[in-house]
Amino acid sequence: MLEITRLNVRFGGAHVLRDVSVAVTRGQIHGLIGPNGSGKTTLLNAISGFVDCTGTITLDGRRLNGLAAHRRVGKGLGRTFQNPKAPDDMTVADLLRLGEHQIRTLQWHTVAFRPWKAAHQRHMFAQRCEQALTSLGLSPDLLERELGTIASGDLKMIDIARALMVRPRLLVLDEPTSGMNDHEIEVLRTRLEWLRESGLTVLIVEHNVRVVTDICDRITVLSGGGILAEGPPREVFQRPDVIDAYLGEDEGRSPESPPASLEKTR
Amino acid sequence: MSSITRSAAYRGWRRRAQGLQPVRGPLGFAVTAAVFMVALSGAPDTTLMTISLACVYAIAALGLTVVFGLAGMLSLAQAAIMAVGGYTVALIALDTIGLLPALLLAVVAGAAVSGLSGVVGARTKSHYFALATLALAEGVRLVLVNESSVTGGSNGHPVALVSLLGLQLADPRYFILLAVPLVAGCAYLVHCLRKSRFGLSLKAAAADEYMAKAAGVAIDRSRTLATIVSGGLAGLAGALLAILNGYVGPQDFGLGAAVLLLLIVVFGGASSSMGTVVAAVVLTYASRGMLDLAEASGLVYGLATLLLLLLLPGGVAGVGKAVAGRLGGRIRRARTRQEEA
Ligand SMILES: Nc1ncnc2c1ncn2[C@@H]1O[C@H](COP(=O)(O)OP(=O)(O)OP(=O)(O)O)[C@@H](O)[C@H]1O
Ligand SMILES: [Mg+2]
Repeated sequence: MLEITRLNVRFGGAHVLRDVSVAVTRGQIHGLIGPNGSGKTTLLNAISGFVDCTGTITLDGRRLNGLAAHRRVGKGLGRTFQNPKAPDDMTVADLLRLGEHQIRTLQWHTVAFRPWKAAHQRHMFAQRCEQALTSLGLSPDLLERELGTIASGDLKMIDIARALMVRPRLLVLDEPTSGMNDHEIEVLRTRLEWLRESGLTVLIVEHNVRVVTDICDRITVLSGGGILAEGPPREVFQRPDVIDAYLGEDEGRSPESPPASLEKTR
Repeated sequence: MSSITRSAAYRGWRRRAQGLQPVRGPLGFAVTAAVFMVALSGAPDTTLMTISLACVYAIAALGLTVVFGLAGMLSLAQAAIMAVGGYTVALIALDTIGLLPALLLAVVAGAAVSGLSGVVGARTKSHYFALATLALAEGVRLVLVNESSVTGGSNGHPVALVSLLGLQLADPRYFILLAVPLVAGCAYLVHCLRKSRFGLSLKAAAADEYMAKAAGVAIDRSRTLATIVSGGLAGLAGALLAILNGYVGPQDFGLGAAVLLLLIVVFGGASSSMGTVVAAVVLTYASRGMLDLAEASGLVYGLATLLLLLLLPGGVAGVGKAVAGRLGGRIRRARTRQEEA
């Protein structure tokens, strides 16, 4: 599905990603973990086309390198942000409408010359939004709220709804559960599992070890810009080098019960 | 439930009636404008002249709301683009080609020159765009002043008299008959752009480029398109000004006019076409005296703009919304109190 081969990203003199290769299988949830600053977000930015990189990135066999960011969305890529911005003058509905604008859209001439058709489109859009929000455990009443007034956990969920509006084939999530409470995490987990059943492929950056072990089919561990380990989560979390990499940034924790301390790093 | 009992035709009409909701504003505007025009027919010439100028600036400012208000790109070239439209109608044989083709030509010329700034500026950050538009404005001024064999240099160039249905458009009395409906049309156009995918893309790109890109917005394209639309309206405004004055000269399209237009947009607020039109009328009234003080006006405008930005970040529309919000809140509170009682 998604093949990344020998990806290198440099910011000036800093070599942030070194020869990173990742293969994400269709219909799987693939976890990407690693300590702070290990380059996870940078890897997602390279996939999205936000940063220059060398190496190849292909989605369903089609090269993404060289494509502008918005064209990659057209190829089936959806992504969310670690800290989604909340512009004050946009409502939740605006954000969701933005999310689906590549597949369904309200053209200015429809608004101008066929207002009844525009109203119908708005009605259908409201229904889609309601569905999108409720399926992520959010209230449809949020729709007309301004983004600046939304709580951070809800905002992350809304960002996911936005990314799903365009019906991507690969959904890329950057630490979706940070800022969410346990109930929200549970809702998201259920939804992601449901989406996987319906054929969506997911690449998820996640610090919460329980979430990772529960939902990921495979994980890749990044450390210092290189790949440290790859495989099914339970096996990977047993590896001493993985445990070390996590404990390195979290000093003073006892190495006796690694998964527990891993969990704390979120 | 009720949809089962009611006929499909009824529902169709109901939907259509609801569909009219988004155009209530422009419809109201058109009706108001018509009443206004009738009332004005007996007004003194100076008032009519001010209203005419307000219409011209309103159209140019509506264009500017697309680039500056929606896309957040500070353009100092809007007055220069007006000059492009004005000189276009001055230099073509206006009397032979006719009013409508001449206006269309001015729109195209304005859109093309403004689009240039978009192609250069859309890729850069906003302050570079501001500099690029400043350079464009200066370039246009240099051409106007120096190519005097064509443009008449700083003396300007006469514009042929045109009439519409036998009414002389250089007379403000008849000019407003053309200009007010054009303002209404442009306001409606900008309103629809704002409500459409285009407006949303511009707004998103202004708020957060990465979010917009991740949602699939072609940022460069949208921004370039914004400068083109904005330039088209400026070209139209410039052509109207030329027809009204019967003359074009570089001094009408200087920095003073550029700042006046920015001020109208800021004062009117980015979120409402109606606000822009109101601001155009108010500020044209206010600035009619000031425009003569060519030197000082820049400073006055600058200070006024700063004050406005500090005091009224949402512009007239923002104030209107705030007032409506307060009133709404009061009414709602009163209702709940009644219900509780
Ligand atoms: N635009 C940039 N310019 C320069 N350096 C950058 C840039 N973006 C990221 N970096 C650096 O690259 C490294 C990796 O950052 P990245 O954000 O990818 O880490 P991360 O794994 O997502 O960390 P976190 O868990 O904190 O989100 C960091 O050292 C960071 O300082
Ligand atoms: Mg990160």
